[in-house]
Amino acid sequence: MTAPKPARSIPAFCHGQRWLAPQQQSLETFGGEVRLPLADERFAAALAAGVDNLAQMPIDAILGFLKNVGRSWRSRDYVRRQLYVRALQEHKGYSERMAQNEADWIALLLCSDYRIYDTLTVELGSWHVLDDWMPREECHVRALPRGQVLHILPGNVPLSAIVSLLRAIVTKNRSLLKLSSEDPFTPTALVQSFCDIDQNHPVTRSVSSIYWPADAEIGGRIARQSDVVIAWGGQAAIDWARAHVSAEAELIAFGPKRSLGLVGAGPDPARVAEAAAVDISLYDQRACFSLRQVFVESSVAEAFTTALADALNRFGEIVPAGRMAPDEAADISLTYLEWMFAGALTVSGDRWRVVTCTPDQVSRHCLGRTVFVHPVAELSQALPYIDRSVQTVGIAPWERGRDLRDVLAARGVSRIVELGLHNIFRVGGAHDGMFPLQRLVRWVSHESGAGRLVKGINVRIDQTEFLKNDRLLEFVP
Amino acid sequence: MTVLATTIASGRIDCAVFDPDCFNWTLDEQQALARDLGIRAFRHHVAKCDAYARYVERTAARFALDPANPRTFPPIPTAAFKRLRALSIPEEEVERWSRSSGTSGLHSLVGRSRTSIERLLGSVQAGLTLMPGWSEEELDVIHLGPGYEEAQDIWFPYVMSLTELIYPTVHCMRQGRLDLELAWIALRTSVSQGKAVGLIGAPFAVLECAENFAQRSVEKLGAEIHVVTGGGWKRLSGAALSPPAFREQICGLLRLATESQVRDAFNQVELNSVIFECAAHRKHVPPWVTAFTRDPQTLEPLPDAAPGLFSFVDASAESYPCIIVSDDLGTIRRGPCTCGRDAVTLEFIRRVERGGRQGCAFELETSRQ
Repeated sequence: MTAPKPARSIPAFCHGQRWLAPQQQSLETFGGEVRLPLADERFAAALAAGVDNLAQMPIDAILGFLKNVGRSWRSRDYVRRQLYVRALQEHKGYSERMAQNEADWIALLLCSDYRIYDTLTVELGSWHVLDDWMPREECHVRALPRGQVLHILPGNVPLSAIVSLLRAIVTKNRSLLKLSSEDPFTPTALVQSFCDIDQNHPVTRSVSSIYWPADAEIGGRIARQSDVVIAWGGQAAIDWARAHVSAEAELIAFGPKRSLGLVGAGPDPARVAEAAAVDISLYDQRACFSLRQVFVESSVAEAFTTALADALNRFGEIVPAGRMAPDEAADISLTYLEWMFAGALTVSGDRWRVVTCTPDQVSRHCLGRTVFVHPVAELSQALPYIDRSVQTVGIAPWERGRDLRDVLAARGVSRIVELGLHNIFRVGGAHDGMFPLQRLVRWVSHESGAGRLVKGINVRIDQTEFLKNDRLLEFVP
Repeated sequence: MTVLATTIASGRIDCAVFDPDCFNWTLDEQQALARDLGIRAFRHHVAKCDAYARYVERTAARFALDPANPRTFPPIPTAAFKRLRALSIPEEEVERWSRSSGTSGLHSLVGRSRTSIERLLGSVQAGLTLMPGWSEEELDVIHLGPGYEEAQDIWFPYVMSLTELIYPTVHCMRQGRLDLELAWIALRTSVSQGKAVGLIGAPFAVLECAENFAQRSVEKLGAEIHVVTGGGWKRLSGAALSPPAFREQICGLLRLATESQVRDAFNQVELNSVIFECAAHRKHVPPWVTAFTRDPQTLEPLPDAAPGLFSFVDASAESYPCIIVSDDLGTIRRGPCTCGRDAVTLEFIRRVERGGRQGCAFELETSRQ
């Protein structure tokens, strides 16, 4: 008889230092018991006492530190990375390839300082505004951190935690990562890797992490003392954040969203299917950018569906699907049977399913690499099924994107990408209809004095004189 | 595959359904009947229900269909009744459409003929034989739910309201509100007349009622109250008590003589029979129902006692194919029950949580504008 596996305790951090939470919440996962550190009043008080030491640090020093951490993650021998990969496999059911891929992405994101510079420039106009006053027309402006950022993290896509935290760090904010019970591993591993490099570095000291259940009163109190709340998740998580954020604070909500594909007639349906298989398979469809529905022009529908089955098989060999909890497995098998009973054309393989039906027949999605294929005479017939709940539309052949983008934009979608690239967020692109970095800074302007002439008004600004002589109309162009 | 059209509105099933002794048969007798009636029911539905016949064609290989083995009959997932109306009779012969009382989203809709409803009632009568306190002449029922009219097509209140066809019944829910004053008056009236009382309702309603009665100082009721719950905790699942804790609580509040006075019943809108507990608190599957569990992932039939999804072939349903696999997890056991009977018993564990992993992904509900 083997001894029961010891429970895995997730550590908490307060301003980069280990925090001993007096109470823990236990949860059962594939790999056994996981204990999450519970927030309490003492933690909330310690959190509120934090100082903005990151605000004084030049952006290149911040990015340099992140790059150092990223270099550790780049090595497959890095112990922290190895522990992380094992945690994803043991507790989240990821295949090894899925878990390694996640760790690779962490390394890539942390090391891509040039991409972060570009993103800052795109979203803020110039990355220099984070360090210094920069001239902008008749002003000098500076982007200051907003203060304490609460990240309500999702459990479906581990990388969301990394992206969320990086955005807050590069805008020099302090962060509290509210762990998700589905994935407490990713944010914790990241904070630990910061500590591995330098426990007292301002970036490390800017980060805290802990857990509280959805209905815990302490959560509301912490949310109300935050200057920004970034909420990732389903409607319940967003509604909770909206209800608890203070009136002065900024709420940045990501979710809930869905994504779909539009496949037009083209010369190579097999290649298109290959691309679709990637978007269907990554994260086993748990991400908001995951492909769950494909509208296909009828002339290529059969060829596409046939090729898609092959492509899903092949991709499944490269990145095997993750393990499923019994409820997930039951959901998928029952849902698939419902479609068979409804008379939909169904094809399935090892851990994937393709259901061909009309879009009106679609009700709910069971995830697990299941895709609805809707043959349509022309792609415009998909438009009634596209609205603001759609985040990403993947298009193939890619040339059709230009024809469709105006009408898709009018329907409310956030992103238009080439099929196969749903998970690649290009520099310069918006996220759920916004540029998030703009909402993580507080703009201050140092404006020109009276002696500085205004464009088109070739005199010194003297309001007393203007009013006395009723001259304002003279300056109207 | 050749299947013969037959009618199952025949003597054998009705003899079983209306036999007050059916739970006392030997296990072999029960199993043999369930198998034979199941095979006849399968033939009937394949012949009469186009949707099921087509489904059987599509899935025969998937389930390794053997027309002589009910465990291989392709099961309809219960949620499929939310989208499709599967009928084995002409629609105009539907006496009643029954709707699930689900807490959200779409509801199952099941069409029942008069025959199916009568057999449903028969299953209630047969199940009540497991409870000696429920003697027809000496019992008044307090139903913590709406009456027949108000229950309309919602399944569980409707099933419970059927008690009025068997017992003098007071329905204590009006326009969605529980009238505990009315329940209390009904209780005192029955007790003063020397009659026993059957208290029936959803567990949360029974608990609320018992707490209310306890505040009014329940005295000397002892063996005079018999409680039957059904329908589960629904929206109040967060407050659900385990069955033993629930029984203990109710016994304490109502000062009952023994926990065997508190029983639970299992049913769902897609199943045409109600499955009652015996004195040992084990739910006895009636002998016209084939019950087993399926592997949640593969849907393959599981051996007895293995936890899995409940699957039923209920031969009492004439109007729709009650050959189903449900969202409920539990176990099925066969053999001697501690109540002294041979039995197929069912233990409900919990409902499968479906669609709980969406994260920031939108629950896919396409809306055509």
